[in-house]
Amino acid sequence: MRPSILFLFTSLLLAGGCRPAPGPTSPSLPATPTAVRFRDVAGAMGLDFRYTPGGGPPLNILKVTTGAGAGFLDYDRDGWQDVVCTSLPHPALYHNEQGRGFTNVTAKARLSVPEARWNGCATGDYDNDGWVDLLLTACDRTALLHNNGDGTFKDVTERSGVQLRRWASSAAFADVNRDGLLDLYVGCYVRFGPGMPEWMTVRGVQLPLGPLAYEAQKGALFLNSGNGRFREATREAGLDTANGKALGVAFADADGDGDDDLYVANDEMAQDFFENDGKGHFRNVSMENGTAFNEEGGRQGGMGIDFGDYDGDGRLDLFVGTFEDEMKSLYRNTGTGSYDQSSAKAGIAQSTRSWVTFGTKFVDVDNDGMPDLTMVNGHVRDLVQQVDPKISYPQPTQLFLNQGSGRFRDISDQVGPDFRKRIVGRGLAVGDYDNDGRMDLLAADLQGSPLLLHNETTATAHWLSLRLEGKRSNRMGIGARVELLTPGRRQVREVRTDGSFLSAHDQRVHFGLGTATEADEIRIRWPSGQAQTLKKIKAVQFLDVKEP
Amino acid sequence: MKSGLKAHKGRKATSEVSSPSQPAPAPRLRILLAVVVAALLAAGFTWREPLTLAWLRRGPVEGLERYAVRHPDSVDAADLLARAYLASGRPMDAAGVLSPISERYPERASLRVLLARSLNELGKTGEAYAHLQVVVNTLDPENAEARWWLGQVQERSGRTDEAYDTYEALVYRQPKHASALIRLGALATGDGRFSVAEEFYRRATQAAPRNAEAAGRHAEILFRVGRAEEAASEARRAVRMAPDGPRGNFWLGRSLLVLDARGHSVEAEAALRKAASRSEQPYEARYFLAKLLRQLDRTEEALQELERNTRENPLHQNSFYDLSLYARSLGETQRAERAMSRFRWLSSLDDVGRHLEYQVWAAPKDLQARLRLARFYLKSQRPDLARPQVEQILRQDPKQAEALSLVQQIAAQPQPSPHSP
Repeated sequence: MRPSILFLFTSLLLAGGCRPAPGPTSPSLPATPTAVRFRDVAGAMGLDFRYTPGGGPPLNILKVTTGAGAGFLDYDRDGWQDVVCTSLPHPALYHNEQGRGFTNVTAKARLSVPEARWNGCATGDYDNDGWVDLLLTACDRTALLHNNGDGTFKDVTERSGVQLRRWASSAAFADVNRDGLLDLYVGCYVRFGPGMPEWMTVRGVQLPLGPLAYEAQKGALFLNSGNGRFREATREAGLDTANGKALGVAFADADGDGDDDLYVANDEMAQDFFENDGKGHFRNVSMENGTAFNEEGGRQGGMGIDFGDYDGDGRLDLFVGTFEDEMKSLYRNTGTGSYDQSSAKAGIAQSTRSWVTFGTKFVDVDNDGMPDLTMVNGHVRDLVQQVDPKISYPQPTQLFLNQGSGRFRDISDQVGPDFRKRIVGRGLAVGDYDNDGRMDLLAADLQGSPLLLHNETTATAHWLSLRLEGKRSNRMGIGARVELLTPGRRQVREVRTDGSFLSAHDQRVHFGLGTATEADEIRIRWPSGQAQTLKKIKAVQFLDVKEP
Repeated sequence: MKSGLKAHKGRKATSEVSSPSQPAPAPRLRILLAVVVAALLAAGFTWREPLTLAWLRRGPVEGLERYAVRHPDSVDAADLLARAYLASGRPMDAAGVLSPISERYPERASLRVLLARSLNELGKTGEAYAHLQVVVNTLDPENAEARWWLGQVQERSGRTDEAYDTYEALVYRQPKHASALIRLGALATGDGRFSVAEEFYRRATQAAPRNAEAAGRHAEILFRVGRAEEAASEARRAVRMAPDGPRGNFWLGRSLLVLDARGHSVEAEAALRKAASRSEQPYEARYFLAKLLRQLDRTEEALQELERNTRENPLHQNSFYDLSLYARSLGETQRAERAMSRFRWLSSLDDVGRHLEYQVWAAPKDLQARLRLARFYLKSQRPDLARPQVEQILRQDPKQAEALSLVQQIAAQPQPSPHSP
């Protein structure tokens, strides 16, 4: 045995509960420079779902704003990411046939929920039984679907107490009080119902009224009681100070103090940044930390959001997708409790401005170790082109490649025609559905089928994918902070399935390693507070890591 | 008649034929002279008024006024005098001159247009609208000035869709009417139709390449559709044409701020400073100047700009917000909290409150404005905010009866102050 292999072997043993994942096989190492490419394989892979706004033009606010979510989840624990799509009248579940295609298993999995305008999804193992559960949001309800572990789900909404009769948009699971149980936050949008005004007329064309015309609804926090039930604790947790009209929600330990903070993106309101005191009590600090408004000082139509350390300083920054004629907000975490508005500095202010951005995610598409930024766009006025011929309802998807030193480069035009296909983009999920070590994208098109954008980046750099399993912490390890060190680079990620818009993501933590063939060190801080260090972990593998 | 002409011609012919060989220079000269004199007299008679008016318009308006009084039927005099009045901001006087004469000459389109313009400036948009409708529908459908002012009247009375149609009709007839193109751009911007607006502004800049306003507005819309590089270039063109123009400078600064603030810091700073110094509303320019300075790590200077903004315009909410953020970044917690407190208070104001605050700020000695604001705060159960207004009134007029009554009402109310400034 060569010394390096011996060392690796020893390290793995020392690391305790970590082993290569049994499911997927690791592909071989690449050798040539990267050229980022994506190709839509949804049709070829059998993802035949159709999103629908439920009616013809003109479409009102109810029909155009939400109603097209997407999610990756491995519901049967076979190591392959399955897909869930949410829309009117029913959601659908697709089983991943080991990366060779998807089969609609909605009926087989008993994913039966009442007919509704289903908006989005969130995933988390709320009962720590090792099987990921599914929460769905709709315009007047929520549904919690318990994963029975035998390939089927059971609707436990009533019993669990997470029923919410509001316009629920994005939702997220996190252990806010660090009791080892996943809690749930559901963002809510506006009060809208029959008899309310719906339209305005511009140059004789009927367009839907925007959020400013409607009363705000506020989101709700459900604390997990541990017996399969939740109780609403919005007020007691201090989250009733939310401004309302939420579209995007995401948890992250933004201040690095070991608990989950919450950002809520609100539509044309001040945004909410809730700082957790470690016990599940939150304080809205968006005004103080500089994340309440956009770089131009105005309210923004906050939609999709994501946290990610784009500048490699070890602190999680924040991106908020917004409406047209609004700067998209990239907030750089300064580490002093405040955020610098950095869209212009980062070079993303211009080419994002005229689009309406919903789903968005930091994702390292070329495995160079620096999170890139992608977003799906789509207008909220289906007849907008009749009043402004150069603005279209469907809009192109965008990808910004991280250049290092805090700047991005717009490569949307260079990654393949499917990527530039105009869609009415809403949800956007990321995950490696074919386990090839390259992160793929699943985009929801409100007026069509989902796009499964297969990452065909040639000769990617090295990578490493970690699946965490908690013991004292919640079983999925949601909220764990993973720090990976390679020569000259430190990367920070968290185990999350939330963020973006109406979407859920591959729970595995994916790292691009560039040319490094191994991670010198991986430091994990579990939600329980437990620290774990892995050393000399070989690249290009899926690794299961258990909490010691 | 026909035969008479013939006879005349015959006589003339006879005379010429009868003396072909006898030159008569003197009589011919006299005739020629007589013709010239007659022509000059005729011309003098015809051109007397225009010449006089041309002379008078170069002098003070009183000369025109005297001429108009002496010649009450002179349409040209009324026209010129009205224009002079309008140019010096006297629409009432202009309407006074135009009303009687346009009644006497109802078919004169130019008089109606001028009268409508005067009435529009007096806020009598209904009457102005009626006059202009007569012109464009009956008297002179091709009258561009009438259509332009009709669009203006419609805008002023809030009929923006009609105004849009009017300008469109004008531009159809005169594709290079830069002012109409600019208004079309502005109306399209107001509707959120940015690419349509961009097209109109682009056409305006082509129609009037030396029009700094068109270039400045074009720069603004280019910026808003995410084309900051082109915006900067267009704004630079506007600044070249009007170096002190606030609009061109403002959008130049804004564009550079987005593109590469550090790389163009000198130009961006100069542009924003110029915009702030030349604008009647310098607050936005100064606000973005502060952002630039902050990006250049000159946070203290940024704070000074924001402090100045908040001093000069205590309602400039964004300045308080950034002031709070920047002060916090320097560890000046108290300063940050003061600014944030003011920001929160401004945020809590509704449109009415904001409007009343603005009125007091714009005219601090207007006691009635302060009374309105104090009443508003009392009604909103904010006696803590009503009190300083009442005290200020009583300082100016200690016997102001309503203020004295408000003092008692304030004392009677509880004192909650969730976000007092």
